[in-house]
Amino acid sequence: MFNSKFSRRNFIKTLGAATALPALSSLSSVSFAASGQAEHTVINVFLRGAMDSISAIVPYTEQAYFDARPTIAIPEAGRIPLNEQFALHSALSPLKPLYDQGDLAFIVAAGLGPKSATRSHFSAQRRMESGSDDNLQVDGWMGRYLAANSGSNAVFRGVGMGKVQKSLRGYDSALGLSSLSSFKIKARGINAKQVPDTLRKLYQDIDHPILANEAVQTLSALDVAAANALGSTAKPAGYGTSKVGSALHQVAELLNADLGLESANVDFGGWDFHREMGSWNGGDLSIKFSELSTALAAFYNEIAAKQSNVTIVVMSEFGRRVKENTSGGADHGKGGAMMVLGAGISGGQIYGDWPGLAPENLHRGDLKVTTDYRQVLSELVDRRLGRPDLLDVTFPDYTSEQYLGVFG
Amino acid sequence: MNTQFDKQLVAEPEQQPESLSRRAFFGGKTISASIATAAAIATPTIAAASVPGAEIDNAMHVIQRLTMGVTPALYAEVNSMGVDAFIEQQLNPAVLDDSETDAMISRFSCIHKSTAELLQGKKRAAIRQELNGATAIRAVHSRRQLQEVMVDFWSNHFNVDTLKKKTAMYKPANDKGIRELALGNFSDLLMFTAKSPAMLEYLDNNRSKAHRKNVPNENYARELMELHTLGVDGGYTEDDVLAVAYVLSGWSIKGGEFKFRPFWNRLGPLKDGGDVMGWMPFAAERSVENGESFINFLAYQPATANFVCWKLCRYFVRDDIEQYDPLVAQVAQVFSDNDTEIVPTLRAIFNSEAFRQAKGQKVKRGNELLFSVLRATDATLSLEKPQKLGNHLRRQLLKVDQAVFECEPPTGYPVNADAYINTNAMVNRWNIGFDVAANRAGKFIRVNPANWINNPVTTEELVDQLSMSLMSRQLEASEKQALYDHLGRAPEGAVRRRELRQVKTLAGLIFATSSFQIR
Repeated sequence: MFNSKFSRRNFIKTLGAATALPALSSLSSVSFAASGQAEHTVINVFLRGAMDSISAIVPYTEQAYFDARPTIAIPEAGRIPLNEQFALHSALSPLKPLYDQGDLAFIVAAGLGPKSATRSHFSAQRRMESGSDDNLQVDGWMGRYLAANSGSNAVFRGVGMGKVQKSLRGYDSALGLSSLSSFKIKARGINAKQVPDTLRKLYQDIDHPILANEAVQTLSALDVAAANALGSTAKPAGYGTSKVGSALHQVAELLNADLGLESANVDFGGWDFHREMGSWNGGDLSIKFSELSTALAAFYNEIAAKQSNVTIVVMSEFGRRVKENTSGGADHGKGGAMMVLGAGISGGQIYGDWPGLAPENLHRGDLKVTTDYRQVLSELVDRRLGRPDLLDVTFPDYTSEQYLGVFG
Repeated sequence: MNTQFDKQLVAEPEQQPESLSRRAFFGGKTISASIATAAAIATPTIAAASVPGAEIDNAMHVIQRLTMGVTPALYAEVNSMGVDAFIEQQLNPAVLDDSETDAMISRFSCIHKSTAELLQGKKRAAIRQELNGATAIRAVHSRRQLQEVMVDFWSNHFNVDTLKKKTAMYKPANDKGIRELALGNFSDLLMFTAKSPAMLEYLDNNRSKAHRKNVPNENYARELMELHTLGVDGGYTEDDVLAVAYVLSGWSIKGGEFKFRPFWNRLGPLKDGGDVMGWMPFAAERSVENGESFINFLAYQPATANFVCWKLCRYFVRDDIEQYDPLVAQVAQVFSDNDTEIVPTLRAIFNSEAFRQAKGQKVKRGNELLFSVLRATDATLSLEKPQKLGNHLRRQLLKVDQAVFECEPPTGYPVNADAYINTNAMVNRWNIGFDVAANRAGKFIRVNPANWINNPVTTEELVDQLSMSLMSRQLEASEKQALYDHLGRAPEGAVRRRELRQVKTLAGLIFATSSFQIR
């Protein structure tokens, strides 16, 4: 009945691993670190609600942009030119040094391909996270990748911050974490130390797959978290106070603890600006950009030693309508943008064919998609992760004819 | 619950089941006698046979689905009146006197004010605290339990996030309306939310203008069809979204009330004879009647019946029901045949074989878990400082991602367990039980563990009494064994001071069992 998620074989495997843990837990944290540093870690930051890409990476030399957006176009004072065609929103300025040093690339006019085009947030997010044009695909691209790349049995291989996102589905051992500092059992008093073992017994052999599976993973993760004192490092001030900052700091903590983290997903919601994007200088959209850029920059700084082994991909389900509406916002659109960050990529460039914003170049008022988001992700799997053999399982109904060259 | 029950000790629970208290549960004739028997005969097998077993019986099942959590008093009441009578009672909440709950709710200061007053005060945080507090108090204390369950359902179906813009000030009125209509008529509920300032503000229709060169705001038009009525595959097109945005342009707010602004309203693509799924505007441009007619049209679409009933079936029966399951079709037929009346629709679900067979197939959502713990522990929610109580409850709910009316996306909080159960959620769910049982959930949330037991002699009695108090049924044998192991005592071992000092932890462990986490 719950078999869409539950895999009996996997469950038994995990259970076996977990029941072995009490014996292990007397060993030092080194034994957990033995699962070691992952070869590479992919961090997927998903901007939920449709980030207005043409406010982020502004096509500032195009008159059509200003014609379509008389009140919300980003004026010169709010732009940092990147090249002769595009400028960065000034609230994203913390990203400029990363772009200049070649670690950050932007991909414009990117998004869901024609088979998956939709203006529904939830359908678009589901499809983008599934990595497939098949609406019935129950698992996600990253989950399939992790499940197929079965070399590691690290407990913290795949982590979703806040929850296990659709993109991680298919990897049954994915962890959902919200706060490492509160990731501990709060029983006190006599025999309190026994509580995890008792919980393990209480969940042994129960016939509820979701709860059984989650309990086993949770207890394993608690052991690893305690052994590595996760949640104990202070968040550097540079992150600011945003939720995305605190999520990314926790990912940095996992990375720096060398727990074998291969993928982390971070959600950053609140991008659905149907109205009141506000001024480039302090308006609501600029605040979101500022939160995103300060958090990404602080994160990149915190993982300084690992920048070559980490790739951060920022994406959103679609962009927003080119023409503004009367509420100072823009409705759902199509073409959006992606950002890729990591040392050793071919950054400092803007990738993707730009279809233009003149009315005759739009599709139903939207920026066209010229780069399927999977073209970038396929290149990531192939060139950056070095696993061309896993392309078929990761993107079962998509093959990239060519790559943009983001990863060199 | 103490405010209600502490006043009276009922000698004959069978005759006054609705006011049966926990103390009466232990002092009352029938049940205490059976526990005494169990104590006298030390053999575990006989003891197990002489108190209710570990299985979920029909009464337990119905209580777990129609309420925010079982209590021994409610379990006795349902057994006394009969399951069917209980269902009918809950489907007709007006017959239940809820004045004690209302009296508690009246202690809050903001949420009873008019929207206009709230707009002046702008006390967003205080309003949110009170909304959390009032929702929790109703969930824990109200006798109209199914009504509260349905308020929860519709509040998510017609989600409004009180963290956005001015919605906090509009939400108390919206909440009141949803509660009044929660067991009413879906088309009324849909029209109510469409004209509710909270929704107009949240989904941006408030300033949707279509006159002159203005382009209307599509946000509400889209979610109205995708999330509130037809469902994403319900047959509308992108052109329809734009057309509906035009029809609803000018649906706005003034002074905290719905205001139709005819000057902003245009029919756009429908001006010259276009249609939306066969619906055409019948009144002149700049008439509110066009939008009203369209919203009614949506309420009665077969796709709407399917979508809404599918969601109800997943909510009340099982997570994995498919959209075109025969049960959904059957329930949707009842929904349509009864003019979108919610009561016969729910009755059809509760009378179905699928419902009866789904015992224990749902996992409590975070709010349901907290409320069921508060009900089971007979917690006192002190109204000495109502906003602080609300704040404590909100913090507990935040830990399980269920702060009241604070879901950012318009989908509302998820209905399916695989969306809300994850690693950290498991820990937070376990901690809720440990925290409440140990009086660490906030100064104004208080429990008295001494009330959960009644002089147990053996360890088995201790565990049985706790599970009967907190779950109204026994734990599974393996769960009991885990607790004996935890205490390091054999079931027949005498209960010493040391064991009694662990009652809080034992209660937390019972709340952590899968038996308690499911419904």
